[in-house]
Amino acid sequence: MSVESTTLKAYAEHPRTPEYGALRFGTLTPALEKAPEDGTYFLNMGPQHPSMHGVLRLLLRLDGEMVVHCEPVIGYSHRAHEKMAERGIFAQFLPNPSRMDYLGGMIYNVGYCQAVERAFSIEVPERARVLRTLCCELNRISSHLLWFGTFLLDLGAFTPFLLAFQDREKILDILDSASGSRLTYCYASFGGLTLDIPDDFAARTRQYIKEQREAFHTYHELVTGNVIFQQRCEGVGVFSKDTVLSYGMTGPNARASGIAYDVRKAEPYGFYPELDFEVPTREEGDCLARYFVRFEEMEQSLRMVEQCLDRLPDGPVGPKKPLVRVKPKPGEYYHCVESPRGQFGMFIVADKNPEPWRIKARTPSFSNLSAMAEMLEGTMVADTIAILGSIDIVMPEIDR
Amino acid sequence: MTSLLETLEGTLGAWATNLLLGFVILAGLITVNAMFMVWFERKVAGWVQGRLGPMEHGPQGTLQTLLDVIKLLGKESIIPDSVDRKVFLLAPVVAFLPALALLSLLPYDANMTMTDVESGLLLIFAFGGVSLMGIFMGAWSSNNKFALLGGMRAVSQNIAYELPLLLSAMAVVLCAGSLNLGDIVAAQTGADGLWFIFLQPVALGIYLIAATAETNRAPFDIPEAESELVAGFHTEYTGMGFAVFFLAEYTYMFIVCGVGATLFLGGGDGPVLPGPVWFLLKVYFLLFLMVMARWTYPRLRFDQLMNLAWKFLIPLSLINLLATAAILKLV
Amino acid sequence: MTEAQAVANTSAAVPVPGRSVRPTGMVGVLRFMIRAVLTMFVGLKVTLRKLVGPKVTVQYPHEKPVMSGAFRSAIALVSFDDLDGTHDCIACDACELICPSYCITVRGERMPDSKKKRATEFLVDFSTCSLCGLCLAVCPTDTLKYSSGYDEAGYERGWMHNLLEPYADDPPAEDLLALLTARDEAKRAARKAARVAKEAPAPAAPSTPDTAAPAESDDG
Repeated sequence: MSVESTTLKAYAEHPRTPEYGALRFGTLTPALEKAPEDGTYFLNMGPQHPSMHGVLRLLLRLDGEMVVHCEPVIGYSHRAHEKMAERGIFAQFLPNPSRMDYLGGMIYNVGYCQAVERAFSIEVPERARVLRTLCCELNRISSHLLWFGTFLLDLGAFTPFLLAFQDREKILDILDSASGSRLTYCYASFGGLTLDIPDDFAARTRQYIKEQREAFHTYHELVTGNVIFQQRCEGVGVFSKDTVLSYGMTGPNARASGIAYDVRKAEPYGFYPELDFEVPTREEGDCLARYFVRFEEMEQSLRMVEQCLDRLPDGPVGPKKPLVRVKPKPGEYYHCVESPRGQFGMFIVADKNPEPWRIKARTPSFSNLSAMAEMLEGTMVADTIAILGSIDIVMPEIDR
Repeated sequence: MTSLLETLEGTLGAWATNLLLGFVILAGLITVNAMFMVWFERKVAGWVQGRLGPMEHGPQGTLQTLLDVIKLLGKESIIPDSVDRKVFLLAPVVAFLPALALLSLLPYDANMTMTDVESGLLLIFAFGGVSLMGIFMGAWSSNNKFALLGGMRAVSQNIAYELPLLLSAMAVVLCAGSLNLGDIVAAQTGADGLWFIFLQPVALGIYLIAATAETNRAPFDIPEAESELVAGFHTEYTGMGFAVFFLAEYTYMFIVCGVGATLFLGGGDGPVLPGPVWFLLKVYFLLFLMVMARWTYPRLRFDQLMNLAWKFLIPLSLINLLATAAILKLV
Repeated sequence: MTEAQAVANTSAAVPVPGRSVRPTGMVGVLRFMIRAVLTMFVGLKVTLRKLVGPKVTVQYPHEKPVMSGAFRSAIALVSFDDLDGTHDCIACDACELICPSYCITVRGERMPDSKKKRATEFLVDFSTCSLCGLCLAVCPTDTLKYSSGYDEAGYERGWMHNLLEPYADDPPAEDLLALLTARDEAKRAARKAARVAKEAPAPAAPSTPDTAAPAESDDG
């Protein structure tokens, strides 16, 4: 691809880029290549680093402690998921969504199944609808717990990481007893779920909810009230509403900046229309706001799980043997779900063949990272890690 | 045993024998302390986090550190081409040797200080500064801009926290009336002696915070933090160089806690058990607090760290010193 | 925000410490400092409590955790009671064709005096298996299941699971022909009965074979 192609040309003529020149594949932007007459220096936060964010490369130009220009380099985890979708039938893509965002594997798996079911009018039994929502909310809690642990590990506190993982382990065991997998689920398939939950599922889940609420007490005592933690997060990494809207940031990051958009309320799916829950929002938009929003989301998810357990109907969870061959209806379809990081959308283009023509996954971390790259300019380099941790990105879903 | 001592004294003289004996004992103390501290830290870290820590080798994993040291000895020592070789190799030594000297100044019991000098406390703080030079030598000679940045941060952090350390110790010196560590212990023992923790609680708090920052421990471990952008001053060190830096750190931790135990907890004072045992118990209690601080609190950002020292701890310790002086004058 | 708190409170939620306000004035700074020191002690209390609390480590290999009944590990062939403990793989290649990771290799041959096939080779490259379960879904004889071992390790690059290994000492296919055909018939009859029961809710005699739907269906 050369600079003459339309997309790259548009990029090169973008107001931000003229002084930086055209983007050339495989090289740094000139802003980062030019010699530092202005006293700035170049810092490469390489694809491998001990901070917990997957293979992200950040090229920073620093003026003392301040970041002058930031350019994220992505693509280190690209595994061609969308290409894999074109190679097989719809059912053969089932293992892939979980691998895109492995922390929200259940949500992605369910999201894909719902997209296909909506597209091709496949019925889902009531019990499966409730169970899917239940498992998705448990998955959301486990993703937020992991975010909590890694965020604090980035800030230098080692203990909350392990405490969060011990709580998360309970969720993984519960979901394992239901689906057979702990992290990357292939539990939902077209038409429902592959397995029904075991008998002790409800009791274990209720017990877990009780223990989780007590654990939140511990987290608030150990972390939230701690003055060092608050001083490191307060006023740090403020995303303005404009930035959020122009980059399409969604999820807890957007809600922490005052944009009350949640796919579960805006375009309800699954059992959400019948569930009673709140969408927490904050106005400040700093790291602490995102922290509080995610904690409140965890609390709301616990409420939702309780409601799902109380209102779980009997019946089958799906066809006796999972539906592998679906009858495609040609057309373009889009279905989005609320992943722990924001709006995850599946855009499916189907024709008369049993293989999809195109599946495009709209992943929230891509937009979130782009917004962060712009916002980082003008902040201190010591805050970079805290900001990166607080927006909760998962690299594999950016690269797919 | 005594006949061996007498023979030595006969051949070398009393002073030389004392020196040799002291050296052997202190070298042993350093080694045992390092081994114990590494195991202790890993165990406490594990238990605080709901895990068990090392369990496989030796009962409760006590042999783990020894095996790790053996493994570390077998590692290839990589010295990059572009480093300043002499300074690079000398830096860990300079960081470590003052610690050995300082151990000889601590009063393990009422009359058991290896080097009993009039201004023992002053010497301790002076030597601590020498150890800091070793860190900076390592950072500078590495020819690595990130190690240098880490080293510069370590230096400014250490300098900033020297002052609260000194000022809180000065308050105790005012109460005791002498810079000699033996005299300070004596002022706390006996029938009318009171441990200075009761007279100077604020000074103890400041001292502990400053001591944690001096030894580059969490929550003040920016210079060696792994998850921060800028790598630590010891980036280019592998194998034994790295091990010596960490031996220096653990020994220096022992020393600052030893001084803390002397200044605030009465040194070897205590019923029933012999003095040195009480001393070690108090030192390890303070070390336990430092270890717990590492696993409890997140890291301070560098400017917050400096703010804490200059804008908070120094004024507080000055106020404490003035108040102590005023009260002592009036009472 | 308060409505979320109020709503959350109804389900016994946890009180959350608020955001600290920037201190102003001497008194404010002093109060902030005192509160700051107190939060440090609260944190220390939590870790001290955890220090003496229960530990969750499972000391593998001295203690081995037991996985749940649904746990997915490498696929294996089911050993059926009504087949004298052997498997029922008819080498139809459905699993090989559906596998998105192309990790299954099945070969089979016709049994003498019959149109039925039986597997002679069934290799799975577990290093590429994603445990998606599609092979279980399409298997017409339900002869695939998940195993439950979690400590799998191969020692060579080309290491494959041989699913027929536990059945290496089984009697040759000819001896099993009768059992296999009997199982087939039983399954066909059961499917017919289920279809009839769905169409005629009142308990009635099974309908004649003419009204029965064709036996073949490729979904469940």
